[in-house]
Amino acid sequence: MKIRYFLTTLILMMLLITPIRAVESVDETLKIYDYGEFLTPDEEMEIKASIDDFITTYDLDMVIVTKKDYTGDLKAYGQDFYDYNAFGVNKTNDGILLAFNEDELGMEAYIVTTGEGIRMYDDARIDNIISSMSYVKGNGEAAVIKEFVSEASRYASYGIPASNIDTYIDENGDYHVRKKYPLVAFITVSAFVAIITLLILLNKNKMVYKAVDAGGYLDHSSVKKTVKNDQFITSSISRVYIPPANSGSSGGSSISHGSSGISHGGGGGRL
Amino acid sequence: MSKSGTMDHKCPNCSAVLKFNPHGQNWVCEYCKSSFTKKEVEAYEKERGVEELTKDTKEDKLETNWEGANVYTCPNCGAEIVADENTTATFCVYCKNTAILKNKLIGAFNPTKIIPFYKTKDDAIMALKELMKGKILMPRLFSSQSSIEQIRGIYIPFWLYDYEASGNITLDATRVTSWRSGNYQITKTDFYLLTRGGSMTFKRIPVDGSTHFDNDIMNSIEPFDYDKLEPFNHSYLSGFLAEKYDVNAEGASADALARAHNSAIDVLEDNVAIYTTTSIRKDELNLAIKKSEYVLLPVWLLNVKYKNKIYTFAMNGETGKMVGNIPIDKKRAVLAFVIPFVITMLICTIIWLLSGGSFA
Repeated sequence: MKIRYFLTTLILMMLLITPIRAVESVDETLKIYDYGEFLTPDEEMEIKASIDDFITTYDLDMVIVTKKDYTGDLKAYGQDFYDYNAFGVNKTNDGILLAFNEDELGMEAYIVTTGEGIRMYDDARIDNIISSMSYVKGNGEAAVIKEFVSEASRYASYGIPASNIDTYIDENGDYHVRKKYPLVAFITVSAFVAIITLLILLNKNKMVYKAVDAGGYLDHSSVKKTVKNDQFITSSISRVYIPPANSGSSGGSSISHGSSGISHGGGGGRL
Repeated sequence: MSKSGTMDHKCPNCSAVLKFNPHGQNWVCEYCKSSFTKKEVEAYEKERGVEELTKDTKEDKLETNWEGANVYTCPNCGAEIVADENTTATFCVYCKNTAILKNKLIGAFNPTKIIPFYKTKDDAIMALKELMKGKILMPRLFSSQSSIEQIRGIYIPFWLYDYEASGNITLDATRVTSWRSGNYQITKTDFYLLTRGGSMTFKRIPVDGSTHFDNDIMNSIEPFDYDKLEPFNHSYLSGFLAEKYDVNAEGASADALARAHNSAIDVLEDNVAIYTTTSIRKDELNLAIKKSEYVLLPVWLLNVKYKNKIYTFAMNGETGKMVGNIPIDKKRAVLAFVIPFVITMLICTIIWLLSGGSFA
């Protein structure tokens, strides 16, 4: 009885700690997984050629997966699809994935970036690619997917964006912002501390001061306050406009984690 | 009593010179080790006829007067004592006998009161050494060049003024309140005209009556405990130097007037703290001297010459409060800036590195 209880508990614990694999297992060399069947064989070949060219040129992987009437979380699906298959180049699985779905509400796209792909495609670039895809959605699903490949290649040709210059990907594939050495702030603080220290020491050497009052010689019993009059004259009111705090992004890439725990950038939504 | 313009105080037992002992507040004979109370000294000097000396309003003719200095004859050894116009007690350079110059202590120059020394030369030397401790910016050679043994006990002539202040002051005042409303910061300023009036008395504001001493140093060793003022008796001068005033009561009053005026305004303004700003528009305070007293107050003084500049240290001979400006070593001052600067930079950098910063 006890052994059965122990085994049951062990199995439940293993189920809890083992990630649930909710995506298809695929041949990673294909790069295009058109489960939604939006592409003709010719279109698929054309796009594959572009993807191969992209991978060779930019040292980043590129994957496209499509679904039809997918009801789950497209972002989570895309991240898991990338993580649970052997996508990505280099030790940090650098690459970009497009998860595309179409249902009765229309087209939906989510871009998943991994490793150096996070640095290459900051939030601004992701938003621009999605906008470009949305712009051509009237030309059909294939046009939207081609636009993704085209725009991703174009931005990769520009190199790492300025917003991600001071970032790096660690050996685990996690994205970090490199802190700039705040030289001016540190010099200011250090100079302030040094000046205060010096003033305290200088003051210790100066003990002679001119007396300017005679408070110590006041006969307190003699003080008689006979007049106290506070007369209000006028008021003035001034208003200064305070601009609202800047709610915009500070730049860089927004990070989320898939069920595997791997860091991803990206973004997307309805086109 | 000497017939040569000087007097001293003799031991009733052996006729050696008596000196005032600040710790015991009595007079001791360094020769026969006898000690005497004020009453005993006064009785003996009355017997000798010394008491009559300072009551005489007629100046004796000085023996010599050359190049502004007065020359007296030491009553102990007969040597000549040279003193400037304002010296009232000094020492014979040959026999170290105290010489009280009787001509300087008569008439208007006869002080009404005196606070005797309560602190000895040893107290002053100890206080000076303590003062120099922990002064990181003090040049290393300064303390070694300070001839601490040269410290002198001097009775400084002071004027004590009683002032009565009365009248009104008118002030412009504002009270500012500020608050946020939407995207605007609103600031409301209320303007007021305040009138305050009253009267008060200041008692015994001290101003030194000698141009030989720096007023700021004398201000800095205040306060003296006036409860220890005694009717003037020249016996207290034994063993110390003393000066007479060279600035009269009227001439020295300006400092006391300014101090009393400032404090009177402070007293009348003490209930304007609820206002954000105040400034005096009209000052109708009248200050009148009610009384002035000429007294001698005890001060230990040391002048130290360092790099062609004289640094004066003074100790209140009654309370022991020691003051003086200590010179600054420029190299040490630079180090006092650089060291905390570098340490702070290092601490900031370490904290930055520990919080995830990297130079890589």
